[in-house]
Amino acid sequence: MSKNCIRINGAREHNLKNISVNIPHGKHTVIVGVSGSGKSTLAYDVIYAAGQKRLLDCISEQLKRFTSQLKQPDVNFIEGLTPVISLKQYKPSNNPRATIGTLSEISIYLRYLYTMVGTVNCPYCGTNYPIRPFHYLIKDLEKLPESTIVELQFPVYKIKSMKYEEFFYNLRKKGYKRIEIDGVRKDLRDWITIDKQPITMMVIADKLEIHQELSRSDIQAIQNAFHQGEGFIRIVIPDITEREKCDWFFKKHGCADHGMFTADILPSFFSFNDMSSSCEDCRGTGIKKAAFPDILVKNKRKSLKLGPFFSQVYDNNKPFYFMRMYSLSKHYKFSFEDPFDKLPDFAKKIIFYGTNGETFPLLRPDSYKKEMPSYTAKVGESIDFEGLVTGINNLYKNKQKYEFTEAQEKFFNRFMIDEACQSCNGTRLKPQRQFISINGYNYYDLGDMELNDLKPFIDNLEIPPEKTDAVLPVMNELRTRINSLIMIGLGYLNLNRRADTLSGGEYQRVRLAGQIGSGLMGLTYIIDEPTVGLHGLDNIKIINLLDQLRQKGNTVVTIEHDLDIVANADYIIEMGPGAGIKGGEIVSTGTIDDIINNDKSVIASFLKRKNNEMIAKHTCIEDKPMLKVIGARANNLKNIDISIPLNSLVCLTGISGSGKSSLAIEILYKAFWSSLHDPRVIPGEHLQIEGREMIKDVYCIDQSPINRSRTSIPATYIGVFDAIRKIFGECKDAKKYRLTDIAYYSFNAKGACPSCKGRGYMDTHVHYLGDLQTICPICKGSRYNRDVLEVLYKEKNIAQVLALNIETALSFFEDNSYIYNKLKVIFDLGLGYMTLGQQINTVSGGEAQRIRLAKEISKIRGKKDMLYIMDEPTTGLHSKDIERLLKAIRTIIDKGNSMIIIEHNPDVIIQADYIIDIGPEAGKNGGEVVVAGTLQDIINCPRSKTGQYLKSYIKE
Amino acid sequence: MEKLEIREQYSRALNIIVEKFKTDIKCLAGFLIGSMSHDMIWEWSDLQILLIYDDSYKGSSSYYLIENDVPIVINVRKKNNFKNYLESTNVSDYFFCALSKSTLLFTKDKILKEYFEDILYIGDREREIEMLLGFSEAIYYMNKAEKNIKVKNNSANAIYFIFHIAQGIAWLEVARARLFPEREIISQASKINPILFNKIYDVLYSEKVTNHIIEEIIETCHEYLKENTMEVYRPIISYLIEHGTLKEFSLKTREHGFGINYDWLYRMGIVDIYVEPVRINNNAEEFFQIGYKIKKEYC
Repeated sequence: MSKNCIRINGAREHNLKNISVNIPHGKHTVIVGVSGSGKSTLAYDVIYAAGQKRLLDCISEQLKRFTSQLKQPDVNFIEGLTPVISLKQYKPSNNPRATIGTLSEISIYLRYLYTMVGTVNCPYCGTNYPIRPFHYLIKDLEKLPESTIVELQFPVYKIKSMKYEEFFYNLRKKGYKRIEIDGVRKDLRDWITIDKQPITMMVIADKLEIHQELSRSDIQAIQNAFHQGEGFIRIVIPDITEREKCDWFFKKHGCADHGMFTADILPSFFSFNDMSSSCEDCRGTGIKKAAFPDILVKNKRKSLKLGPFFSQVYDNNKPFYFMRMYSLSKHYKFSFEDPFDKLPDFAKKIIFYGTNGETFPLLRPDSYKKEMPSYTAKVGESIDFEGLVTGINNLYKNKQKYEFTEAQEKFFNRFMIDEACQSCNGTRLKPQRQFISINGYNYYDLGDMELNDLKPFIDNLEIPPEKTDAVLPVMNELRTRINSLIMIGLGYLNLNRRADTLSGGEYQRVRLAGQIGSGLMGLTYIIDEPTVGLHGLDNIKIINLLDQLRQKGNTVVTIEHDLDIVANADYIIEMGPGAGIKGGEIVSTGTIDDIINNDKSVIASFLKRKNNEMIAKHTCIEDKPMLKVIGARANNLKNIDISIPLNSLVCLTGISGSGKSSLAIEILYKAFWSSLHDPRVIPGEHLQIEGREMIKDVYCIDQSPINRSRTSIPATYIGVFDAIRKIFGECKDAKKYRLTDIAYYSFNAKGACPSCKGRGYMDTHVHYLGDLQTICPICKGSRYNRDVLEVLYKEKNIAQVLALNIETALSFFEDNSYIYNKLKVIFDLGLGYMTLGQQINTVSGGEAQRIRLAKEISKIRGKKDMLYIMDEPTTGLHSKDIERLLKAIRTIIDKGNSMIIIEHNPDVIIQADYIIDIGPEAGKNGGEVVVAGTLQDIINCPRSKTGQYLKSYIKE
Repeated sequence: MEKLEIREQYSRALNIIVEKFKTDIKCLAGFLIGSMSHDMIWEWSDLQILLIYDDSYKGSSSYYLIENDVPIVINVRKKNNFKNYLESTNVSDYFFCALSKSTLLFTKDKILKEYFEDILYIGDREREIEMLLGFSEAIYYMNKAEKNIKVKNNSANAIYFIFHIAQGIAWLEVARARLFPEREIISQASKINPILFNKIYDVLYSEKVTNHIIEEIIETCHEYLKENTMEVYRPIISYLIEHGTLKEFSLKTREHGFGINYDWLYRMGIVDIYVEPVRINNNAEEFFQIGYKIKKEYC
């Protein structure tokens, strides 16, 4: 094995204790261990970092300057390394341009398919005709009778946000003189009035005289018309007799009735990230920002007189504004004194959308004495009001032409929401693209199709024999990539789905499927928990996929807690035995049998355990109050009614894409958050929620990452650092040394070591070795300046306090209930070994997840009637950590709160008081309540996939 | 007076050179532009010919030839380039106006001929916008002239501005008559409205110009503009009648022209002004802008 493996010798990175380990080539190796034991350090900070570093060493010095230098891992040597690819879990950035299609690269091949086998539906009558190569069309055009006069037209479309005056002006500016609007010819040099929305608009581009050999100028003119028409032109032969002679040409290449032709459609025509193809209104994002009335109101119980709006939106303290609102109310006869929410709808409409150009006299209320600035209107003068919503929208439109300032961006984000672009209806592309289709489906329609449906569509596509050779490679790529996504349990997704709406697990799996599609071999893949977000039944899909990667000659290294994956691995490396300083060692290595038979192994006990021992005594839910969601229709939910018992642990189960998150996050969380905190949040579609009065507040822990900046430490993250700094600022020493300002006790502010600026280490760039970190010689790693370290509290300075582990800190701060309670939560979740000042960017994924849980849980300490929603809280947690988490959850419920958990982990599901299984399948085949009840009810339901999985899990 | 022998010499030269170009199959059309086409010539004149070639032409864009001892300036444009130029230009372009008075010497492309004729059409929209622009130019310089004579007592400057007022009014008159403006536009407009230009322009060089005459000229211009307000501002007034205010109004005019003067309507008592707050930079400070609304009697 020593030859055919990656040999790591003397790894000392983070908490690794000079370990040496071998990872076999061409096998699937799982690294297991409790959170914080050093799994990620070994995989990412040693193997991946070394692989990347060596790869980057191969590039030229010139190119190196443009790449970030990686840190050299602290290891004696690594041998047998191949290029390493990391597939980590993280939420994709909030970029509306990234979709499943772009991410999986299926869109690229689909674009090729459209250009090769797509046909066109005539914009006039819908008649189907083929796309032609330009030269082919010219060749036949030259065969028309000599001296035939041909007129070239091209279709144009106006975007919603543009006025007709501007639209026609722009066409005229381009040099066009005539336009045909719904068949009526108009001269752009005359006034054109539009009474109703036109269906077709054709610009008259040019005229040609046909000759046996068209001149360069004529060919250029046709090309220009195609270019302006985005691939579409209309050919008109004004002479009827001549037209009849040319009938064959129209029938052969275009719409015989309307003379439409399409040529030279390029793949980029379907790319919304190509600005020449994207909708001109939304620039390919499919969304537009618009001010939203409800969020402009700060206090709806205040009258117009007292000012119900945010001052940034409408400042009642300014005399002109005050008097204008007064005048508006008098002119349109609505109350100035009644609360805003009691005003009639027409009044609200005027306030939000304005008087539509109508003016009214400016009045002064009798008792109002404030003087207006001299340059504003005088009392009695005519004024108008554009409305709050219209005003913000207009401002946005004007400012959009330039780069926003930070203040503007903040303002617009606060008072505007995203809505579907009205010009393209969310399709992101120019309207011409909608006329090109395959079997009646345009590019957007196909992107909206579930992958499960797209697969048979592609498989059954009939390719004309003459195109087979060209199309086949594209079809093969499409099939491979779609199959990979379906195989990995993502068949419910569609290509138009935005990447930033995916969970971390889904995102990772899309990338994983992309790797299968790439067909690369001889690589080392490092994959972080590939089963996250997957139903237990679907684990086999991941196992198969990993096996495919391995069969292609790749080495697969996964960090995994799921016992199915561990049991199926070729080789297992167990890290531990504990976390942090208690970890960092190799506990056991070998095959599954080697591990089970190893007495030192922690995971062996879980692999051997009988799962039915795990089933806890459930709380009886019959007497519990119920929260009822009526008519849930968000995303794929099928108008379902669901009762959710309060003051208990409720688990939402079902395969990925079945509709769990739609119910819990989109409807429940957003509905409560919207009514309690932020009306900008629009909940998913539902009729009503009964029993909302029983909930005082709502919290949600989803899979968004924690802040991993270098200044973030557990003490700041869970919110005890301010209190600690306050203690130092108030102590005797602080007064003595005049260091009472709490900013002195922050390593980012006044207290920072002047040499390392509060980092505790210095970065040194060494040629070939990248960045090296050395402890700051001035503060010796304490991060603080000397003066601050003179201040002692209970004989410890601030740096020494930050060096305390949570367990010790508990007794140190036992007299401060605020700090104690917060620390207790983090201690209860098994993180007692972590120090208060450890940089968050050095903690493991599982530790980070628990810190986040601790932060959220500590917020509700002592509170009652809270609704807690957790989206897969066990992500990154070892079975042992899950036990701790469940204990903490029970404590919260016992205090009178409710907990809804979206979960796939059977260890958690079997502990739930009530289980709601959504499904039965994903996407359009999901969205129903398959079964709801106790564990026994679920197991007894043959239709429930979760029930069947749990049945086999417990039997095991 | 033009000498007959010179014209004959030039005509001979023209015929010779045109015959030569006609034999070139890639040469699609030729236009005679300049004095020979529409004006008198003298011994220092040259012949200006614009040739239109097929897009495959690869030669230079201009040549200076001599034929029959007549200097000939040849400009060459490719067909699509020529079409693009004609399409994208407007009456304010000098070359375009010169072309409008040109003579088509020959063409092998009947589309091009039709095209060229069509270019000379001035639509209602473009005509009314040009009238508005000429009017706005006249108002702008009238304000300057009035200030110089009434406030600064600077008659020299006032006369300078009167030339510009006359030019603005001439532009208006020519556009109203659906003509292409010539280089000597005041002279062109004088033929359309001789009485007006006699009063506001001819007096400047036919009489001794006193302050009194300047004031009279300004008064005449003022009266003229006042009388023409309703006709020239028709697009704006009809919008105002329909919509009440100009809040959503936008009228795209050609680039580099004078903006439209809306304040004149207020001065003429056709619209009222009102103020409306405006956000400049979502700034806390208050800003106000002027709005115009039509008076009830005009609705």
